[in-house]
Amino acid sequence: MVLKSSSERSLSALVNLDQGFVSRELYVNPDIYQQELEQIYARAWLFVGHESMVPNPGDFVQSRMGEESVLLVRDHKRKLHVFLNTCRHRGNKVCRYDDGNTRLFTCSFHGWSYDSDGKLVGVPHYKTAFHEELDKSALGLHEVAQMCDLNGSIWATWDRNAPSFEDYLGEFEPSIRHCFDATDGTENGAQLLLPIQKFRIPTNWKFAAFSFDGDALHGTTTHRSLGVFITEGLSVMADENSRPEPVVERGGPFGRTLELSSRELGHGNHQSLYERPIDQIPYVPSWEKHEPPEVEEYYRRSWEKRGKKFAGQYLHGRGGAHVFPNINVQDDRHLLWHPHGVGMTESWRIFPLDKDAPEIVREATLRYALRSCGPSGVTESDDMENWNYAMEASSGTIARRLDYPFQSGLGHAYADERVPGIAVNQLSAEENQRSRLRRWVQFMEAGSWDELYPKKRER
Amino acid sequence: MAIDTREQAIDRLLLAREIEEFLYNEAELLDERRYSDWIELVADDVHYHMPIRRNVKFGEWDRENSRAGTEVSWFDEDKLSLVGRVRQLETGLHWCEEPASRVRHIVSNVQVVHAAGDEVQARCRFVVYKNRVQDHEDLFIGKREDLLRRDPITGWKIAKRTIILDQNVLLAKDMNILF
Amino acid sequence: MTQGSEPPKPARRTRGAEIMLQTLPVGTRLILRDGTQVEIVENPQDGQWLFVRPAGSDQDPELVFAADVAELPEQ
Repeated sequence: MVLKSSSERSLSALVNLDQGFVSRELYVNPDIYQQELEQIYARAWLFVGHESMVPNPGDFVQSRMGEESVLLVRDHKRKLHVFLNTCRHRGNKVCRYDDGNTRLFTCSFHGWSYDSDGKLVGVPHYKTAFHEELDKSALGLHEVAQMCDLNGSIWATWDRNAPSFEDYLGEFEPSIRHCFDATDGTENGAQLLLPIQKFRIPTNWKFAAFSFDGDALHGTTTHRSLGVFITEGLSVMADENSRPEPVVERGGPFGRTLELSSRELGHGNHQSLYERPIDQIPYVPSWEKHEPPEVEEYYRRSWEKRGKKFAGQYLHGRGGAHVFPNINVQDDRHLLWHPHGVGMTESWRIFPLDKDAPEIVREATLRYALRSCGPSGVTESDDMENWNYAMEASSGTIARRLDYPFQSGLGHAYADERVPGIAVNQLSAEENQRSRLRRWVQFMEAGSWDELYPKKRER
Repeated sequence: MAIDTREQAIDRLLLAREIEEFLYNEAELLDERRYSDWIELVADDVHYHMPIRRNVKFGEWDRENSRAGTEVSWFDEDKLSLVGRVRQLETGLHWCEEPASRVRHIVSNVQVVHAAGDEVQARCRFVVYKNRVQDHEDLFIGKREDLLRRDPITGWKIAKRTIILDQNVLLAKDMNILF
Repeated sequence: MTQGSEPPKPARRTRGAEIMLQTLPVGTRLILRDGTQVEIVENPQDGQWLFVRPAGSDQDPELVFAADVAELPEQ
């Protein structure tokens, strides 16, 4: 299926999910990218941060929504806010620190100053230069239209017509909510650590965001070199799920593994989902070789406690969850894929720990995660390389005429009353990517949220 | 500060020269991809740390570099994990280094900060240039603080290395080379 | 934070632009351009703004901008 030029193709003609074809234009075309910023990033619910990053009044952390800098702030009455990081006067960044505690956000250009609740409280020369005529009340920091605190995690949207975040997540709400529990299932038991690892990958954001939690097939090739960590007894460093053979060939150690996604909403879950309820999945020791026994013991007890709490359930917030459009929430790290130009992604790694775990457990867990994940991790560094050159080699005049096949498992997904969304064997991993692409088309074509939710059409 | 005698001055110079020579040889091993030889220079109890550099307010500079263990860093390694990284580099299947990058470690401003017994604290500046495939370039510039220990039989070993990279957002897609 | 610490004892009066506002402790007295004598109630430490009230009063604090501070008298 080769098409002549992008200008002759409407967006929906660039994506044929019934046949499993997607034009490369989606990933390399700068016009499409500009539209994504409007159609997706100015409307969708996006991840901003976590309560634990700003525990005290006046605490702030600089975060990001789409291409733009935002501030997550706890005001002096302890209320959380998300503001666009721009002075209302001439647009300078009002805060250039990554995180900290402040009484005021004072612009370094003309000195306009904002309280932690966003109100403009200081305008230099207000009497002499502005004759007290400037309406300060209309010039506070620009705040998101809606913010949601989901079990400690903070999400926001610029669109006041977007549905509530809970509705946005739909039937995946419980499983994503439980991603922010402690390992043992204690509600809001996670802490998200600072600082955030931030790095730039020369690739389109969708290469990463749409394949993560939905591309089990890459493991046997991309992460082949991790075999050395298994065979040499260094497996604590490598993501167990990235081991070459087991998942794809045999399912997991406890039967067939599932991959789930919402065709309507684009969200999904990916790892460690078995056709068995959690309480029938035994704990798998993974720390004993290289860490003190307290660590293994902590996670064994946590797993058993979680199993009791979620007894009989198949989807319980462990593993990996994708929230459309650009975040993956995983047990050991959360992955954000911020658009940074059509061919650049600013990726963030945020590492979660159990708030109340002993220090020895927290340190071991973090050490493990850092060695595996992010740009200096032994696992993910190979992903970056492949996404980089997938972008480069898809961008040429000839190359971009071709389509990507998304056909693995096409037509094999099924509804399973035990879990939300549609399920496939994890081997048929491209179903989750098709779900995201289907939602992508909806966002790109919809004029407003009225057309996006509740869903108006089945593709 | 007391003025050194001529003999003390010569001792200091010889030690500084010896440390420089060690660091330059180490850079040669890395640049020539002799990773298995390089790992022999690493002590069994090594701590190898590269913090993340925060943008913090004036007066909060003690928060600038993330702490090992409790905060998020770029590298927080021990001998076991460094051995793993070396083995991974030698598989030929570690795609971010296959085909292998052209890497140069430029080490300068070497100073012996403190010497006591078998141990020497040294610091230096580094420019690590990485060029790969056709036109990909990364430049890593910063400061290194090393604790070096003299083994009477096998020579100097790296007992502790802190790598202060002068970047906030990492301007590289990956950083799986050795510093 | 500087709350509760002793005000500094400058050797001489310091004028306008020379004053480094961010280091001034709570309780420090200042003379504004309009001649009012005020005391610092809270210092946001941005070097530009101070929360002040008329010296010795218990009025609600107001923000004063660096350029409106005329003088730091001997304390």
